[in-house]
Amino acid sequence: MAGRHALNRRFLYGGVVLGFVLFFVLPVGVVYVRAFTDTPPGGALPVVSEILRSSRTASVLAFTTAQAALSALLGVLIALPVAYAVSHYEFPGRRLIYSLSLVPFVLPSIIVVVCMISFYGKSGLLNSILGTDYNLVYNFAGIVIAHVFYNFSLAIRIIGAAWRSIDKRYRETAESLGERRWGMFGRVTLPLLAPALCTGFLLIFIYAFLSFGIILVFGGVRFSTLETAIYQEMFINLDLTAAAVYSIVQLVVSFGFVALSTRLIHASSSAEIESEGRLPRIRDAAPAARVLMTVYLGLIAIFVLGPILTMIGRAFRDSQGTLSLENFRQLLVPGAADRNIESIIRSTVVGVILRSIAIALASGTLTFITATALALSMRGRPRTAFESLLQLPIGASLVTVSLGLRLLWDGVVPPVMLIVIGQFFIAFPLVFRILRTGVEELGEAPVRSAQILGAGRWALLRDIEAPLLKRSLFNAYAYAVALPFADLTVVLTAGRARVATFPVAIYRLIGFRSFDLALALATIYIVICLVLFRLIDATSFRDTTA
Amino acid sequence: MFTQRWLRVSIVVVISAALGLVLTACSGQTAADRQTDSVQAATASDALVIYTYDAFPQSLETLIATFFETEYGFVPTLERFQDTGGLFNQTWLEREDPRADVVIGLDNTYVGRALEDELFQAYRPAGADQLLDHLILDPEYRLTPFDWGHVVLNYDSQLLPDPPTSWDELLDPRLAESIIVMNPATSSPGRNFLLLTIAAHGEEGYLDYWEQLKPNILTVTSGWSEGYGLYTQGEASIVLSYESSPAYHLAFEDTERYRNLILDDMGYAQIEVAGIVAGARNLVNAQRLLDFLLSIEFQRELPLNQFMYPVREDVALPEPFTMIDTAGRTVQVPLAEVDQNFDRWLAAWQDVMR
Repeated sequence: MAGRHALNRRFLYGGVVLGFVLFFVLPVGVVYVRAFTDTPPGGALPVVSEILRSSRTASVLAFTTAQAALSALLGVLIALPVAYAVSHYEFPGRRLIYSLSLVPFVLPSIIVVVCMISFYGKSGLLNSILGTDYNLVYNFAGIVIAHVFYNFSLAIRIIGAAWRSIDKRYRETAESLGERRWGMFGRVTLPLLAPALCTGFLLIFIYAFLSFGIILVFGGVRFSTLETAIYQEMFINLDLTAAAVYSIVQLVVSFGFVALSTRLIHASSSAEIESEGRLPRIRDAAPAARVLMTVYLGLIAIFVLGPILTMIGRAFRDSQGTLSLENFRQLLVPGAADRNIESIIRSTVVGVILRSIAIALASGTLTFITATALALSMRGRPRTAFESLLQLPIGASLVTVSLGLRLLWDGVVPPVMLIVIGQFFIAFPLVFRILRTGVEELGEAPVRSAQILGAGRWALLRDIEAPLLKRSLFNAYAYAVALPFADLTVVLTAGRARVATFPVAIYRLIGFRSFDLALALATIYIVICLVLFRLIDATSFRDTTA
Repeated sequence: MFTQRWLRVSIVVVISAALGLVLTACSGQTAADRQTDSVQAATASDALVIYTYDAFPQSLETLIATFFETEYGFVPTLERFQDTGGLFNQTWLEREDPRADVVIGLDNTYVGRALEDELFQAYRPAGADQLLDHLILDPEYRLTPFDWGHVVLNYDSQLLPDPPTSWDELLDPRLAESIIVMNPATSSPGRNFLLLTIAAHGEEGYLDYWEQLKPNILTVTSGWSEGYGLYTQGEASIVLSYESSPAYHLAFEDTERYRNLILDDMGYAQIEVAGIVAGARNLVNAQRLLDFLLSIEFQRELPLNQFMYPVREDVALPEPFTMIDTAGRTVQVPLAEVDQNFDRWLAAWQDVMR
């Protein structure tokens, strides 16, 4: 038995390593080799050291780090009370908040920008309600607000899950020992929650660190992140060497943070299984707590919903500003618009919808299956270098990976397959991490008992692991599908712009000055995302409260 | 119970995955894609590989395809890249062993670098005699202009009923935080507008001018799409764009709200070029395409499809273009001067704007 499992594990690891080498390491390597061989006589070394020591590199790195740290800090602080409410009480809209908070995370960045400006912009809703014209977005603050809006759902999900299991285990003990609420929070909850807080912080930090689209609009002349610097060097200044240097700096720094957070996740794992039960309703909470929570959740709903709803509101207005379905009619009814929508998007809208869902499901499922198999096979094993290397793609510049995939595999692998493969690397690190944590939390005991009782591998998965892990599994699947859904870079670069998905279509409409139609398409996109997440989350919630 | 539920869920996952893969396979084979599937076979005499950027209009692609199909019995392969930078980058990466025969859509920004790296070969197309003189960037015709336009400011007449008309009036404090421009380091219009200010105020004066203009600038976006999007959302009353943008809103939205704001009658020439790649495998067909790009048949389609001007002096502009304000003076800084100084000009500008 054990021997066969070891063999299976070796096959699995071998397959994953082969996939990583062929579609990640080699493509990125090809770009780097090109970059460092196309240098002037005298070799690459002097050029590289000059770039590394330049003041631009220092200021880009400093800005990238500072804004990411601030975004992560604010993200965690804002998410903390939401995580508490969601993990402790049942209230109307609880599941919706859970699903909804994920929506910004999967919006194409141009739509996040539109959401931000229609709410916080100079002529945005907030300013017009207050009767002011504060410049809230075109500066450092705008970048941070956008990043918090974008990423704080990560923290809600991670901290919420951890908090729930901590309280179950320790609250009663602590209360029976006479601890008071705040005393318990400071002495018991906070230390136990610390790893989840750090994980939430680091994940938001990493995503803000890799930010691209937000910076392109709000960054102006002053601010650029490593990712925008890579893009600029590669495609505008045509300095492949500088692009490669920045891309390596980005890889090294973000990999450092990923490794750090992996360590923390393992510090947070515990041996006890989360036994599910019904949550108390928020009505049963103490009056003060109830009021506080309601007000806070309301504010958060405004923070998340405000920008999205204002954007959607604009989609339902025609060019005269009156309420109408004109934009949707032009988008969906062939021949309704003066301009030929199909030729701008280079596909029908229905084609865009089906194709986007199909590609996201294909790449999401590939990611999910690989990550699940790996996480299960690593149960109870200490963290290894191999595992850290699996996290490497999170810090790799997407522009670099996509270009490499195209250089190496175009003409061999069909564009759609290249897109699916490229998107695998977008979602894999996060999905694997969620599952690995889940499996570790589960511990060995239930599996051991089942094995002693003679359960086979498949029966074990079906009867023991899957039911116990379902929250992690569904959460992971949601991210595995959602992240590719929002991708623009891989589709356009690795897929040679031949396949039109949602973000591509939105981007093309904006390019043709059809901003209102882009908003209408973005609205359809948000609705589909929400339905998809509700389906995934609902399945997981139904099971947990049953 | 759990078993059943899990089974149901896993069936859903497997079916959706299978569905995903099938749909994916199907979507990879749309009609538009099929014609581009023959890249490897594109070395025969009835072949032609064209590279362009993503936003190149489908209607013009169809025009080219129909021309080759009727005249020569085949449809050329057309490959698109994310933007002009991606297009140049790919051409440059393949320079040892090029796959493209013709590249359509590089602009002034890339011409100097393309010529310096000898990416293109000389060919003087039929119709070159009719070219407007000031558009010819390369007298050897390694790169030939096929359309052009003025880079100017636009304004929203609803927000700004009384627009400035001169460089001086643009500095008026009433316009505080109401202009969106693009970054010259990342955007072609942005770069051309910086050159316009250098042409207008001289190398000694342009930095002073930007220093004074700074309080009136709301934001500097990295690309035209983002900046123009903010403008049509009502975030600013003035934006850096093209002279043809108001014609677009007239033609498709029937509104005169968006108009040209031309300062002291000046517009900077943004020129899009096409060229035959050095080492092209299908030279004859590449030359036929260049001839076609300059033909009246193709040129007269440019205004309403690409929203750029024809490069031939004998092609007139159609209806909405005759209704918009235009710049009387086309400004250009000579290519050699730009190549020599641009990095320095840009760095100084960045110091001012930071």
